[in-house]
Amino acid sequence: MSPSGNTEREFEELAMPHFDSLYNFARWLARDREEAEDLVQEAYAKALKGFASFTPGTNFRAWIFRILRNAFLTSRTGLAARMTTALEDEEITPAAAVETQTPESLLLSRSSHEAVHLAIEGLPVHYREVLLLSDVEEMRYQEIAETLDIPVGTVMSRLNRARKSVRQALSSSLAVERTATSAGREK
Amino acid sequence: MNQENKHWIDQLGAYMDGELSPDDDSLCGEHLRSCQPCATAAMEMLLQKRMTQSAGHRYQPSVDFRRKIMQQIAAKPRFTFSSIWMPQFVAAALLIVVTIAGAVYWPALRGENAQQKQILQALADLHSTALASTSPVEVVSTDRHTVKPWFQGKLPFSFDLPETYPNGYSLLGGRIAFFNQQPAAHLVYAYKQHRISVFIFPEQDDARTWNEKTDLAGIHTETWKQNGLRYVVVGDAALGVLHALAESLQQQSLGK
Repeated sequence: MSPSGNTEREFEELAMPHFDSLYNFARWLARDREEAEDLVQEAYAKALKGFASFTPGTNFRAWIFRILRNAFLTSRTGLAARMTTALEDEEITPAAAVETQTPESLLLSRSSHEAVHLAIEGLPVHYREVLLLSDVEEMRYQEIAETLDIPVGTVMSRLNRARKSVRQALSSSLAVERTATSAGREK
Repeated sequence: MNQENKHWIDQLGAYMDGELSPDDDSLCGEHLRSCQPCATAAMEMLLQKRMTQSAGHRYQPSVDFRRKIMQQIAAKPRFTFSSIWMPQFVAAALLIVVTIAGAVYWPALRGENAQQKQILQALADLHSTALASTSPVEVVSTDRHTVKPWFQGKLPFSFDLPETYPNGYSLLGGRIAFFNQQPAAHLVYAYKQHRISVFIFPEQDDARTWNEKTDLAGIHTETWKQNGLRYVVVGDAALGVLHALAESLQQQSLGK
């Protein structure tokens, strides 16, 4: 049975405000424009078809992001993607800032937009998605947990690790940059 | 590093994300005010979070793709048996009245509506195109004292901007848009994840009547005329969201 006009209108009103965010998230996951568009299209089609199962008053954003993310996992031979995630060590790790003191903040502030982009892109999917949902989509931990279907503790653990990895990647890229600069000066 | 510092360093991520309980949040804040190493670590984490946020908003869907999705989910009217017959009696009566009135007014009305829709569609396209570009605004500032003077010498008219906006709205900046072979002010606002455009241009024709609010395939518009200038607010946010911004701009122009 196809949804009625009213249902479609309700769906449109709830779903379209998330269009830009879903597309951005899909691009980060898929790292390819065409694949991201396919994922978004598939997510909207599945969400519209299953809209009757959505409970009004619950979190629509988490619901539609979960559909998109499941579409992505399925597209990447779902079983392999899920197993890789499940085998990760999920213990809660301390925040990344422990090892870095004053000079690091100055270096961090010099990191380019592109370096941050590469650092995020270089993260494994299960760290990348949690970092994007938290820092870009500004979702609460509980909402991320609902979206990714994982416990809140795992959200915190992955987020800490993701941030730590980004920081390490930025530090490495700055170290390479500094070495290249001094080598240039010596010539 | 002592145990107390280690404890709070471990909590910094949750503190930055506003996820600590009110008591822990207050204790963490107190500790950061008195502990230099932890305050530095907090500053670094905040900096990194902001950089991630900025780099993370990287990809914008194309206008064509947005249209494609809109068409995919657009509501289609569906009629049931019970909804068919009753309205037909009313429609038949109305048809007679409309036919008579239409024969007199329709040609003028059709031209007017088509022209107006064309203008609003062109502005909706300008809105979408600007947002899809890598630099949607030429002057980037939330401060009206920066944005308004930027237009001086670029436009043959002047306009006022509010000092403050309703909660949740913020000015992102402005640019010059060319519309109907004349320059117009194009301001861009943020409301949550939505971007809202406000176009301002002179309008000489007092006789033209406009639909105040329209829906162009999911892109909403609200328009009004004030002090010889036509204002058009454009965005994919709900009409109520656009209206609150429109009211704020109208009140400023009235000097309230």
